[in-house]
Amino acid sequence: MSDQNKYTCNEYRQEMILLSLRLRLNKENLPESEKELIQKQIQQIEIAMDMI
Amino acid sequence: MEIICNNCNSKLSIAEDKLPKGKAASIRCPKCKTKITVDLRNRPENSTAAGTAKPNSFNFDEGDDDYDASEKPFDFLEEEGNTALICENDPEIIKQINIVLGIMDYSVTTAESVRDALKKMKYHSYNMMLINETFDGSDPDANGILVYVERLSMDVRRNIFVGLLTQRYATMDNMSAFLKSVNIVINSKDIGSIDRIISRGINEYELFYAAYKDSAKKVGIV
Repeated sequence: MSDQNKYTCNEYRQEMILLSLRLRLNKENLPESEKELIQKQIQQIEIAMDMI
Repeated sequence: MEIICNNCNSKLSIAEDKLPKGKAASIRCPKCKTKITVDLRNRPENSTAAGTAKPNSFNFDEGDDDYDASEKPFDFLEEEGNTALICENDPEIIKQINIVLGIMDYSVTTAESVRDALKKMKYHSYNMMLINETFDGSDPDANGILVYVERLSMDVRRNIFVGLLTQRYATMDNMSAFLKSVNIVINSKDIGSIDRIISRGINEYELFYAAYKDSAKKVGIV
């Protein structure tokens, strides 16, 4: 199976969620607690996506 | 016993005695966390052959590989003809959809069951699929056709407009559509306006892919 064939709706969804979380993380005046939560979520997605 | 994860192709070795004999068991792939079902019901005891792993218990069984021309959903289609597959239980809703898609010049086939739908998809790439999330008695969160569509490679999937018929989500709820990997959500109570809903959905779908398709054409991908 080629890499292109492995790219499905699931990978697309993960990428979009990751993108939106990173955008939220860059928002100004974000409370520290929310920032930590977002960072945790980003880390989980990155692990699932084999990025780290 | 050796099991291969269908999602990430990781090879897992599991001791035979850890698996229940004559039963189906579920495990999670340690790498990608996909649920793998190991079905030992039809496996002879003391067999050393590798087991069969089925992610999320879905066995996309669209029948055997023998070619049977009578199973093809269409005998002949105009080159530019659009096709649609309806996976719905309610005959009244099927009738309404048929009328609307007929006006929109779609050649329509109706699936009798999940197995029948998968068989039809084996022979034909549809332009549109309208799937009721409870079709053929499916669990709405584990509908076999939706899972199959979700796992289609992107080069195939992007050519299919998929509509989800549901009672749980609001019509044109984009976040639900995103989560369910469909192009549009249609609540069953809005079935009377399905012509306008589908038209709008198709317009948005074409707009979404317009830049990609133009670029792909220019570089000769399609």
